[in-house]
Amino acid sequence: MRGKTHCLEVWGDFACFTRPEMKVERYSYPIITPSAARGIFDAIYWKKSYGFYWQVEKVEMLKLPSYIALRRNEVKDKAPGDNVILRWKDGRAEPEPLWADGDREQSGTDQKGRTQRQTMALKDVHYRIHAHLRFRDNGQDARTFDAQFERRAGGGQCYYQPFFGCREFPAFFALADTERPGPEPVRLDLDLGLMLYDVFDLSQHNDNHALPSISVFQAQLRKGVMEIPGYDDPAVRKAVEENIHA
Amino acid sequence: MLDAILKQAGASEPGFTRKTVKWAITCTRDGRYTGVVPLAEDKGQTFDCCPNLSQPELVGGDGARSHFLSEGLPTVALFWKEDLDDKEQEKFRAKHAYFRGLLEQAAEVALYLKAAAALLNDESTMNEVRADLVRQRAKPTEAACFRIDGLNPLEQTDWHDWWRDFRGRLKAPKAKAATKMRCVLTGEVVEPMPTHPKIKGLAGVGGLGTGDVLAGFDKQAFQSFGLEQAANAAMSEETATAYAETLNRLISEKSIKLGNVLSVYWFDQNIPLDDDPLSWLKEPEEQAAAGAELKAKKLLQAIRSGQRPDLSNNVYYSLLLSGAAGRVMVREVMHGSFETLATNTEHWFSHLAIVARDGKTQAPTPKFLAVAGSLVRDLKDLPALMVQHLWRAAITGGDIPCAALAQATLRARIDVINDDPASHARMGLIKAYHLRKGDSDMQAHVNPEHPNPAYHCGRLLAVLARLQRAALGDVGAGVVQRYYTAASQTPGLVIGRLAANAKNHLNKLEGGLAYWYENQIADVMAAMNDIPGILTLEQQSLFALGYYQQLAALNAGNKDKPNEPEKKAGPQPDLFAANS
Repeated sequence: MRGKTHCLEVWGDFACFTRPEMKVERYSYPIITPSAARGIFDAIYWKKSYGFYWQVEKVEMLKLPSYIALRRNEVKDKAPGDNVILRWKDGRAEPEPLWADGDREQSGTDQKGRTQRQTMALKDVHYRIHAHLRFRDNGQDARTFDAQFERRAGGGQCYYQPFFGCREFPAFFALADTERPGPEPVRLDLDLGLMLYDVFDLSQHNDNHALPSISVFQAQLRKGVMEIPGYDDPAVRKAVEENIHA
Repeated sequence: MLDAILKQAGASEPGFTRKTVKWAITCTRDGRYTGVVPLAEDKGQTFDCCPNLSQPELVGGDGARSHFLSEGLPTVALFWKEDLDDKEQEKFRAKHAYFRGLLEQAAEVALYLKAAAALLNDESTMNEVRADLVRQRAKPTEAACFRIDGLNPLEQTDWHDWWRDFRGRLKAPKAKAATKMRCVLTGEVVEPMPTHPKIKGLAGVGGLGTGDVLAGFDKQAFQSFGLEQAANAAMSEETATAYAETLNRLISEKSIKLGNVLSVYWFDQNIPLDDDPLSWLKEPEEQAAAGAELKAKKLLQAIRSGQRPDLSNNVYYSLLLSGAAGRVMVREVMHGSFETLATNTEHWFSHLAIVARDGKTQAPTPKFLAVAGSLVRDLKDLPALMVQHLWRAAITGGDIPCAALAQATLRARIDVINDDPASHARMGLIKAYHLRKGDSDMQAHVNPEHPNPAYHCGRLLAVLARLQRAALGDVGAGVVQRYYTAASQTPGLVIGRLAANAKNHLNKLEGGLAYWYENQIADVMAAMNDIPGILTLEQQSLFALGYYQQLAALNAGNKDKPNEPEKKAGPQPDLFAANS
C-alpha cells in the first residue's frame, strides 16, 4: 500500500554522499543517493510504530555538481553506544573518555587520537525529490499520514535537522508548490554505475538495532533526472543473506 | 570510478601480480651457476604473471614467509648492505629458507626449478652470486629471479596450478560460514575480502613505498553499521585484485606527475600515443609554434569529418591521486568524450598563446607543469590544490581559478622589479584567465583597442620605461623598478607624475626619436578614457599583461621609428628620480 507522491525542494551549501569504496578519504557521488534522500523525508516525518518507509521515486538535479576539497582532523574511534553509557551512569563500569588527542605513545594504540582526512564534498547543491509512503502493514489510512506530512513539511517542521549525507552538512527544505513549476533540472546525462541504494532492508521494521543490508542499483542521470526503482523492484540488487552479520 | 577502472582490467587473478625484476641469476639445468645478468636497462623487465602473496598472507604464518620465484635480493641471495643489523639479517635468512622451500616444493611439478633450489643450497655458489652482484653494482632494494638454461620460470605456466593450490592452503579454515554481501562494484553476491590489495606508485606524491590502500577501514570511526574492515565496501578477492592490479598498471603506464599530485588517465578504447591529447599537455611538441594546438585541431577535424570514427565514440577518464599516510587520496575524477577532451586541449593551448618577449614570434607551447610552476618560486612550493584546479581547467575547459591569477600577477610583478625576463607561460595564463572570463578583446599581441584602461596603464608604463632607457641608458633602478608596484595598484596616483616627468626624457632625445616617443605616449593615452584610481586584482593582471605585450611590441621594433642613439650609463642625473 502506498500514499500519494510528495515533492520536496532541498538545498544546502555542502553535501557529501560518500561512495562506499572511498569512505576513508571520502569522495561524494555527484548526486544525492536514495538513502540520503529518504533520510531527509524521515527527518520531517517518520515513526517506527507506524510501519512505513519513504520510497523515493526520482531526484531532479537543479544545480550542476561542483566539488570542494575539505580537510579536517577527525577522531579515530567512536563514541560508545547507549548500553555502555548506561553502565557508566549506573556505576557498573568506569567511564572511559574518548581520546581526541594524543599519539601512540600516550594511548598505547594508533586506533585512538586524531587523524587528518580529506573529503571531496559537493558545493551548493539543489535537488527536487519525489517520494511516497510505503506501508509494510495493510489497513493504514494513507490520507492521514499524507496530510500530516504535508502539514509538517509546509510549516518547516522536522524532528531533527535534515542533512546531506553527513550531519555537518544541513539540508534546507520546502514543500514544492504544485501550482507553480519550479526551476528546470540541469541538462546533464551521467552514467553513474552501481550506486548504493540503501544500507538497511526497507521491507523490515527497522529500529536502532537494525542490521545493515546493503542494496545497490544501476544509477543513470538523464537530462538531470535520476529515476529510482522501488525497493521491491528486481532492479534493486539486495543483500541476499537472510541474516547479515548475525 | 572503480567500475571504470574495472572495465580496463585484463586477466587478473588473486595470487598473481605484475612485477618488475631487475636481475636474473642464471644456471644450467644441472644446477651449475653461470652468472648474474640484468634483465633490462633502468628498472628491469616487467612480468605480467608473477606469483604474489598479499600482506596478510605474508605475515599470517608462524615464521617468515616470502613470495615465490621472484623476490628482493636480500631474500633470494642474502645480499644486503654491510651495516644491516643482526635482527634484519636473521629475518632475511628465514625468508630465504622459505623461498628455497617453495622452489623445492614446486620442483615436483616444474622439474627445472630443482636447479634453482640446488643453487641456493650451495653456500660457495651463493658467495659467487653475491660477488657478481657487487661487481655489477646491484642494489639490495632490487628484485631477482632465475633463468635456467635460457628459460625464465616467470614466463612459464606449468607451476600455476601448484601455486594456486599452495596459496589456498595458506588460509586458515573458517570457524563459521562466511557472510555474503552485495559487491558495491559488480553487484554480485560475494564474500567480502577483509583487506584490499595495495596501490603502488604513489611514493612520489605522499604515498608509501610499500603501497597505499584505496578502500581501508582500520579505524573504528570509518566503519559503519557494525560492519568490519573492508565489509564496509564489500568486494570479492577477484574484484579487489582486479581493480588494484589495473590501477597499478595505469599508474605505471599512464600517469603524469604534476608536483605533489599524480594524474592517472586512460581511454575506453586504447589510442596511439601520438593521438593522446593529455600527453601533449605534459610534453608538447615544439616542431612549430603552438604545435600541440595544431595537432589538436587536426585531430578534431579528422573526428568531425568522419576520418577517425575510432575516436569519435571514445571516452577519457582522469583521476588525480595523492598518498596520505598509507591511504590513496582521490582528489578529482573527470571523464567525458574524447572529442570534448581534444576541443578543450586545443582551447587550452590557444588561450595560452602569447607573443614571445622578442615580439616577433609566438612563444613556444608551454607544457602543463611550466604553466603551474610559473606561479611559484620553486616547483616544490606548488600546492596540490592549485595543480588540481589548473588540471581541471585544462582538460574540462573550465575557468582558471582566481588564486592562480593572484599568484601569476604577484610573480609577474616580482620579475619586473628584479629585472628578470617575464615567463611566457605565466603571461599566457593571465591571458587565458581573461579569455575564459569572457574578455573577447584579449589577443596574443598588444591590442590598442582593448576597452579596459588598466591594460593601457600597463602599456603606458612600458613606453615610459623604454623612453627613459632611450634617454638615459641603463640607470640601474629605473622608472619600472621604482614605480611598477605603485602604478599597477594605484595608477591614478602615479601615472600623472610619470607622464609629466617623461617630458624631461623627451628633451634629452634627438628630434625624430622624441617625436616618435611622444606619438607612442599619445596613442596609448588616447586609448584610455580615464585613469583608474585603484585597480582590482583582475585589473592589476590586465596591467601586467598590457605592460608585457607593449614591451614585446617595442622589442619587435617599428619601421617608422628612427634609430636610437647608443646610450651608456653615465654621470647624468636620473630626472625621474630627481623630480618625483
